[in-house]
Amino acid sequence: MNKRGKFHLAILLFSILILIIVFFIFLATRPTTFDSPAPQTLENCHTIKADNSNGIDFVFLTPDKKTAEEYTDFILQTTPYNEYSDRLNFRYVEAPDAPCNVYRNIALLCDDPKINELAASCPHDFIMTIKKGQSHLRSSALKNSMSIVRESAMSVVTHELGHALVGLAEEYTPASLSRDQENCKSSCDFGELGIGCSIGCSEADFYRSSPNSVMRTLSSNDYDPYNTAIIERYLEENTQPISQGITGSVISPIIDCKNEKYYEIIYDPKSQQTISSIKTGCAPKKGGQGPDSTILISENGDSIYKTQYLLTLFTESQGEDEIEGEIIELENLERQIIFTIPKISEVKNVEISKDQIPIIQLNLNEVGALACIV
Amino acid sequence: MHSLNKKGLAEIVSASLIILVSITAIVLMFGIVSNFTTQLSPEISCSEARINPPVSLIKTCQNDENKLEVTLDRLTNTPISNLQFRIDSSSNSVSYGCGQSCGISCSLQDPLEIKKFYLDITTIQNPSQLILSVDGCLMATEQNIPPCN
Repeated sequence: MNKRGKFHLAILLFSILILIIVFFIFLATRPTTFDSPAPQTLENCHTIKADNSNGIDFVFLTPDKKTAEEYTDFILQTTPYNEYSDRLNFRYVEAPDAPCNVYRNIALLCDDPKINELAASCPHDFIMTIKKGQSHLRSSALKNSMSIVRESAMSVVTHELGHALVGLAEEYTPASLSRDQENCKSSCDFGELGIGCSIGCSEADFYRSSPNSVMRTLSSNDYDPYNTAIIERYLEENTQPISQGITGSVISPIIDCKNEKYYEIIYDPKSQQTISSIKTGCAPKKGGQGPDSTILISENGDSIYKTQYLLTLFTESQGEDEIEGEIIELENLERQIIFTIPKISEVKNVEISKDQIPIIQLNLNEVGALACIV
Repeated sequence: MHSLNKKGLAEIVSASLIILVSITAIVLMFGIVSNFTTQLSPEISCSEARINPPVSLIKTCQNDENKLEVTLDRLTNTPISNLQFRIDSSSNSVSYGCGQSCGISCSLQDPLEIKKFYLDITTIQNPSQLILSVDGCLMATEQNIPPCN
């Protein structure tokens, strides 16, 4: 190699050395990202049927449109929902990867902040997450959220709706008798609606109103008359028939969840700690029936509205003859529970109670506005 | 002739490599310098913020839950990352933040919105003044904080 060649080689090696040094400086001085929450974006909300602004809003989180339509048709063919089809609204969000959890290796439990964020894309009172490929797990219901194993009998939806809407107790045995339930009695006191009073209803010495309702076995899709009447009463009290304008045309509810805000409260039953924040989207405005509640309180201490439900986790799958399952009360729930509350300007405080005893009391004005010490 | 061509080709290749390496080094250096200057400069210029303040302190008061309520009006669309509040008392001073430094527990309002912020002052006795800064720029000072009605 001549002198000139050596000179070029030296420059080349020197340049490569400089390049390597510069590259490492670049890596070292890259800005670190702030630990701030990612901006929340809502998903597309698809409407299957939603023509009653005074109805109950259901949102499906499903792998696809076909599944959502299939479950909607199934519910609307089931008594008593078939009689109230004009009071039930159904929407869906395509969520093939809905982030569900597995509870104690036995049950599907879709009650995650991300699930609530997906549901927030649509107006909703109740959430039904349908998850494929989980046939080894039980379906479940907790508060207003139902987690359905796609491979289970369709009647599991009817069963979970019985828990979520009106707090019906399990009619199989053995099971824990759920709080404030109406369908299991200590005597055969079902009046004319009893169609074959049978012993065994959660507990061995309680009675059920019929031999084999859907609350006892998934081989049935009937609540049977006594339980049907409980659901009909709930639907009568919490919905109204479609309102029509002077011209007779149907007034459709148009709610854009992008313009709505809600409070998300994550509660840990073990530590009794809460984490709260404000998010964009829709939150439930109607509850079910039960001894537990969310009460929104105004600046002057008036209760603005109350949502009721049951803070109990029901898990179930079909056994040999009847359902097999487990009931877990809030205090034994080994995980956080999420409450979502619509942001209403005149509301100051929220009180979340179990059996009328407050477990969470929050000044909502401070949510997302409590400065941290730095 | 053959060896000359080879020599010439080697020179072209090495010259091209030197140019390529130099350009890459320049681009990387530019990235470092521009990133460094961005980090050094605040999101808003303090002199500009004084002329055209991005927030206005509407009200400050102490509520009966031992919290200061600070109401701020976000006057412009100027991007803001953090609000800083400093509470001084005769014995100590405590700094609070809201925005990126605070995560979800305290978020800034959207431009042109009014929002009330809460500062837990249980560790401060007799707060004497509040100093409000936006991204390091002093915005307002409030003395003699009254109780909220």
